[in-house]
Order: sequence, then C-alpha cells, then structure tokens
Amino acid sequence: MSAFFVFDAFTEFFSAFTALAVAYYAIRAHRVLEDSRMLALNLGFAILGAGMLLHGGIKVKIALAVLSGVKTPPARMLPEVRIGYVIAFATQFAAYILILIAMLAGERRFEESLLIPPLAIPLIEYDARTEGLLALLTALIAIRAGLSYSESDSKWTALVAVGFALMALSHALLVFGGPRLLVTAGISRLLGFACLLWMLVGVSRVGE
Amino acid sequence: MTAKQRYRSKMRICYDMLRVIQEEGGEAGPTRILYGANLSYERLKKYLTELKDKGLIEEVQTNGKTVYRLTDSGRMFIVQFRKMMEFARAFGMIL
Repeated sequence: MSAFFVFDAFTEFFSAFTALAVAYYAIRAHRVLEDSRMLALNLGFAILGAGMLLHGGIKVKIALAVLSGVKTPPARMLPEVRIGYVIAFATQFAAYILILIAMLAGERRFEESLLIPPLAIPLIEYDARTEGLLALLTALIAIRAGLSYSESDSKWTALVAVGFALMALSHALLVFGGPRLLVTAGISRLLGFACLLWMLVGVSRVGE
Repeated sequence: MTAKQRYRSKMRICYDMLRVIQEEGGEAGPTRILYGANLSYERLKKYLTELKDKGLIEEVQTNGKTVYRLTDSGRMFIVQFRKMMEFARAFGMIL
C-alpha cells in the first residue's frame, strides 16, 4: 500500500518538476522571442506543475501515515485524496486548455470556433468522466504536435507529440481500467513527461 | 493544415539581420543586410540603430565603407534565439 503511494508520488513529482522546467523554459523563450503564445505555454505548464506538486505532496503525506502505522481508511475514502484529485484535475484541465490555445493560436479555424464548455466539479476521485476529458485534451495536443511534425520534421516536435500521446494513454487507461490500472497509467505518464524532459535537454543543446 | 501567415516579430527581424551578418563572416554592409533580412530602408535604419544601442553589433569603417560587425553579445543572442526557436517549433509554433 505504502509502496504504491511512494511510486505514485514519485511519478507525480517527476511530472511536476518536468512541467515546471518546461514552464521556466517557456518564460525564457518569451523574453527572447517576445511571443505571447509562450506566456500561455508558461502559464499552462506552471499550473500543471503546481497541481501535480500538491497532489504528490498529499500522496507522500498518506504514504508516511501508512508507514508510521497510523490506522487509515481506504485511500479512496480519505478527503485529502479526493481534494487532491479535484485540484489536480482542475489544474490539468486548465493547463491543457492553455497549452492547446498556445499551440493553436494563429490557426484561423481554431480562433473562429474556440468554445470552452463550462464545468461543474464535484468532489471525485479517478472518475471516468474527468479522466476522459483529460484524455481528450491531451490527445488533441498530441494530434496537433503530430500534425506539426509532419510539416516541420523536427524530432523535438515528435517528442512533444509522443509525450502527450503517452499522457493521453495514461488518462485513457484510467477511463477503461479504473484505479486498478493506476500503476500502468503512472508509468505511461512518467514516460510522457520523460519525453518532454528529453526534448527540453535536446533543445537547450542546440547550437552548442 | 496550413498555418496562418504571421508577421515577423521585432525580435525575429533582429535575429534575421544578425544571422545575415554572421553568414557574411561576421561583417556585412547595409545593402547586404537589407536584402538578406528582407527589409525596407527605413526599417533597416531603425533596427540597425537599435542593434547598435543594445551592443549586438558595432559600426566600423573598412576601406571608406560602413560595415556592421557582430559583437560577442550578438553571437550569444543568435545562439539563444535559435534554442528558443527550436523550443517553440517543438510545440508547433511558427515564428
């Protein structure tokens, strides 16, 4: 039980720090390029990272409680887990929308048809509807990056596409498999963020 | 999917001018920069002043002709700009 929470928290922290690193790079890019889309990208990844840090922190707290022998009800019953998930979902939803806006800004078809559906968020934990929504958004980002790759042939774009495709897969696994596939989904998300980290390291070495 | 044609940003124009000077071996005359960076004469004058003020290029006289020389800061700017362009491209953004 505690090992599962430690692994889950590790994937959450790794993803959070990668997202924050991308956010930092995006703000540097904004200073150099003076392109407002970079601000949207920065904000998106910063929100994503902050939400994941909080979620990871809650998981570590529960893991420590379990390790220290404190009697706790099943994880899904704990209010902290539910609150953490709701915050993680809300931040991921907002972040993916911002990332999508940053990537699609300038596309006339997108600007003419942008509609963000209103959402009412009850307290939930690994709900199929929320995970489905996140799977859809990450899949859209992956498709957009994939289309860009077909035009630019840049391996960094391919890594972004693969990264978000793996994140979409991790959310889709939770839709179809529920919490029993949490570890597999965690690995998929970890690999997705590893792709983003790989892209970041590669890009920072351009011209050296 | 074709991206909408975007106007070049000020920074992109500065980068294009510096790139032309670098491709010419670190020194280039105004006409070469004008054609290479695809600028009007008015815009060329404006941006050359700005690049000089920022210390990215310096104006020198060679054989009675005015040429613009890339400084170390200018070279660093080109490297940084290329990295950030690759980063933007990774997310499918055309500058």
